[in-house]
Amino acid sequence: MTYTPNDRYSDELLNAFVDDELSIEDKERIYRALEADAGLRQRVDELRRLKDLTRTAFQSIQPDFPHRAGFPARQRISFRIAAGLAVLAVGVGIGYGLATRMQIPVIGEPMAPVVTQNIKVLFNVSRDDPEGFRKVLDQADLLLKKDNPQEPVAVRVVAHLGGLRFLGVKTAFSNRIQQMQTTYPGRISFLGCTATKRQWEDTGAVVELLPQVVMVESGIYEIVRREQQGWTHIHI
Amino acid sequence: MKSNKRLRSGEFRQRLASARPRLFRTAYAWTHDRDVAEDLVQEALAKALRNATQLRDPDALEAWLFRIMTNCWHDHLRRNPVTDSLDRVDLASETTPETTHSRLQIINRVRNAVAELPQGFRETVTLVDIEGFSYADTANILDVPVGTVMSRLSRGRNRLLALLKTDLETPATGPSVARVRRIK
Repeated sequence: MTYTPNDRYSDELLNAFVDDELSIEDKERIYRALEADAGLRQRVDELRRLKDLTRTAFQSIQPDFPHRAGFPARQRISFRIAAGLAVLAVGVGIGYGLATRMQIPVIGEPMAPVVTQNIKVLFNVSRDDPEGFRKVLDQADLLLKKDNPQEPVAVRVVAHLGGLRFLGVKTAFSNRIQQMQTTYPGRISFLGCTATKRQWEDTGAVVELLPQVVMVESGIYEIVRREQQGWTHIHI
Repeated sequence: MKSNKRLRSGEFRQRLASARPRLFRTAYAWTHDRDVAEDLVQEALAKALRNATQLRDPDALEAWLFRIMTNCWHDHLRRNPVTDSLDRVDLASETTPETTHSRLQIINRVRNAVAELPQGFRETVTLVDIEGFSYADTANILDVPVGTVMSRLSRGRNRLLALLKTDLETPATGPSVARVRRIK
């Protein structure tokens, strides 16, 4: 998706930036604008927090019977009665457990889901170590194969410093990264560090990353932020 | 392309079942009613089973299912024109200074704010923000141009920002800051 200069700071453009719907060139243009414009940074930050908040608010919504499909409507009455009994039986225990675990969130920051037992794993790739990166992809693959509605699995790979090169368009891992994103849509994302990219470009290097890579301003900041959100952090 | 037999197989039914939680979450975000959401999902899955052969690309199963459910939802709206649910709005105004920061209060406020969005905005925001669909997939599901998705998303989020302004503010340091309550 490309935009003309007239669209530079439109709401639509900023939303597309937050949703990672822009081309690398447009994303870069926005990143440069963000550096110079505090108001723009605030606007983008606000949109990101809103997106996180909206997603989180509905994350715990689950049907009564996650694996039931294709039954005619008239059969649902008995399912609902059974659901009521089951909920009654375990409700007190679960309620107590949730109440004791519940924490007051920081306003504006994403919150952990209330009920679902999400597995959220963050791989921190900071070294130029192909064998290490291959293991990251292997482990991510194993985790994502265990994804199911009761225990959804989310994997994020943050690549920065020497690790950023693995997200390039012409590496031994390009096809596999793209294949994993197709196989596990929405379950795995590869996050690239803009600060690292900028450092390389300052030395005259041409850095071309895969179009699926989501650029974050700082790999380290992203890792710290997600750790605070409850992501399991694995450093390779 | 997989054969009809394959599409009607247990594997296909299993894939439908796996999609159910996501469908339900979106249906609930659209309707704010568990029973109606259950019915929508059930209707969509039943239609998907009946029309399995119409799925040309098995990899596009989820977007196809969401599109079926969107049609079910629009049919439902035609049969049952929506009157605004005052109950959920009342819930949003029940906040007190002591509970403003609690987790469930925030969740409720966000859900209620989404419920207050006009239908088209609500559908778009939920598909993109909650389910993570791309603009192209969302346009396909809602049968509108990508430009419409972008416009609805932008306007929908602006409305949410206005409704949730206090929840999105950077936490203040020092003494607690008085928050504005929504008064009906």
